[in-house]
Amino acid sequence: MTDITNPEQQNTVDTGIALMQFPKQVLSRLQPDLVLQRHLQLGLRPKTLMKFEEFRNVEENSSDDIFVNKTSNSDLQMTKDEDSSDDALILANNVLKVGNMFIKTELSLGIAEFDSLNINEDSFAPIWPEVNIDRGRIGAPTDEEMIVSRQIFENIICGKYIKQKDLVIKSIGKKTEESETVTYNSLSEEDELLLENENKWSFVLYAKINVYSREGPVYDHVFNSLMLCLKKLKFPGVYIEESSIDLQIPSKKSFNRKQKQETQRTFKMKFDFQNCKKLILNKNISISSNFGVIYKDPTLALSSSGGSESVLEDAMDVENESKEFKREPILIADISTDIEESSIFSRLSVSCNSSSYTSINLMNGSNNQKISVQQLKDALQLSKARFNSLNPN
Amino acid sequence: MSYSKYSILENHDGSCELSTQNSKVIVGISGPLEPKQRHRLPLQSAIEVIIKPSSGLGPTTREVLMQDKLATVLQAVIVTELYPRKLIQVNAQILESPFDEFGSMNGNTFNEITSSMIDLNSCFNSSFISLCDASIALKSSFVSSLLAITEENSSKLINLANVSDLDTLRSYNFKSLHLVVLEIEENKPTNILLLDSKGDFNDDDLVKVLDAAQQNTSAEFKNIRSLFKEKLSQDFIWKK
Repeated sequence: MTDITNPEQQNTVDTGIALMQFPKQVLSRLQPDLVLQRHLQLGLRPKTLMKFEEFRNVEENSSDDIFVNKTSNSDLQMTKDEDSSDDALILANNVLKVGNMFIKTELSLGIAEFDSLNINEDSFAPIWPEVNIDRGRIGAPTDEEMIVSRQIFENIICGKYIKQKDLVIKSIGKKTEESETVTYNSLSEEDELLLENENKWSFVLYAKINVYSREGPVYDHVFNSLMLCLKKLKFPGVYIEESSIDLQIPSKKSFNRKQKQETQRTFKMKFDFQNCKKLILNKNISISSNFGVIYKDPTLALSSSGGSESVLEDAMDVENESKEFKREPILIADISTDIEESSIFSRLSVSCNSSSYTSINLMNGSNNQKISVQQLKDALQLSKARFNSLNPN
Repeated sequence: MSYSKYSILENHDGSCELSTQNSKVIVGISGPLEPKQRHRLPLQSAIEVIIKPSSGLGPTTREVLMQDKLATVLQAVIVTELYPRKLIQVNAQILESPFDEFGSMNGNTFNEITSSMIDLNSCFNSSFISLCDASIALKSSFVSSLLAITEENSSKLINLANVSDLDTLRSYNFKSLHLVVLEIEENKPTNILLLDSKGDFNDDDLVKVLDAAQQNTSAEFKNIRSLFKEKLSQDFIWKK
């Protein structure tokens, strides 16, 4: 390596080894750190040619509609005989385009029995996420997908966005066979069935997140997409269809002791999309942004004196020539290419809203490229500025 | 203060059982080992971290995230260039966690995060002692601290490793949680190796947390140093 790159020996033919030149796409795969360093010397970032503290452009797209069935998006209201439990239900959706990467988030809903013994009403509700990074393969989730899902799960709880109280179904409607409309608050009738089901059920939120053409670490963008989705979330009303109520009364005394003697009542609960209620968030949503720190390495710089571009200075030569052998730290915002991702190990992810931070995750993954307190401060300021520029509220 | 026992697993190169006031973890280190083909890196050693939960089968997603954090820090601290084409395997088994019993979460979802942070904090400190016990070359020392701010008293920082009363621990209403791993160079805490802060906090809180983490790190490291002093006097050839 040292011999072929030495400018003096390069011109002599009898060294035996020819100077190899690679197209830039190949070189960026072979030596990502070298490509990154050369770009850093120029004050640019590889591929995207962004500035160090520049973020990728973000475009948001979402619709306010509720999709009951994925296969027929136009059909907003389910037909009478369709069973709601079999349908894919999307209450809120969001598509985020970050650079060339697409993130699609769909929020879905389920109902679970609310167990007041095991779930505290004052605590904060989680969202159960499933992150899929599509790379044309199938199989078990990768470590990255698991880590991102878990981070989302933890940060949604810690960010205290949704109160468990707000997810409890407080009033259940009833649809009688005669009328086509759902009536709520019919407590005056003292319907025993409705009374006993109040505050017994709770909504559970699921998020299905797909990432297409991944570029750089995905966590922050996935989080942002989910946050924007959450802002739009509406809960449908829940009703019991009178026709579905079924009473099972044991007709005679059974001699079989195993058989239960109790009267069993089954019914179907359905969603009423005409009566949607918007979710009131406990806290303002926050926006997450990531940063990396890399040190400029003068030994990998392109020669400024030599005419040929492919001339690589030997580390020793640089030390002799330039007296200022200084490794200068650079804070890079929004790690956005695989070149940056494979060479930057010290990373920082900050999510904040207008008043405070909701999570900071700093990892110094390399011993000679550490994030200093000053860079942490800079990153915190930049993340605030990023929140203000996106201004999601 | 934590209490630790080293070299307790005879078939590992290094091991440590660390108990804090409310958790207990055992870490075994094997390495440098001959790795599988996919772990063989030409210029440095690979680091594999496995964390097993105190109950149930693992690692689940909860542990996978913990493994990732631990592996990132170890990558920065271990002199990986010294063991090319080798593998250093870190196995952590959580033995006791304050939220083990059924219903001990008190129905508070926040406790789920607290529980994994407590486990991770113990894993960090325990794996440092185990690495030293295994005589793996390290670039620097590190100590982890877990600090919390509650909603009721936001001016006071709680060091969760020192809370011995489990009922108190379970009933806290946390505003924010901070796991700080500080690097120690020449007996002084210097850089932040890992900072994992969750909840609701501002710049002032962060400064307070880092200050308190530095103090805790110094105190804990003193403790670890005396442990190593004792270990050295017993382990080596000059032992009578």
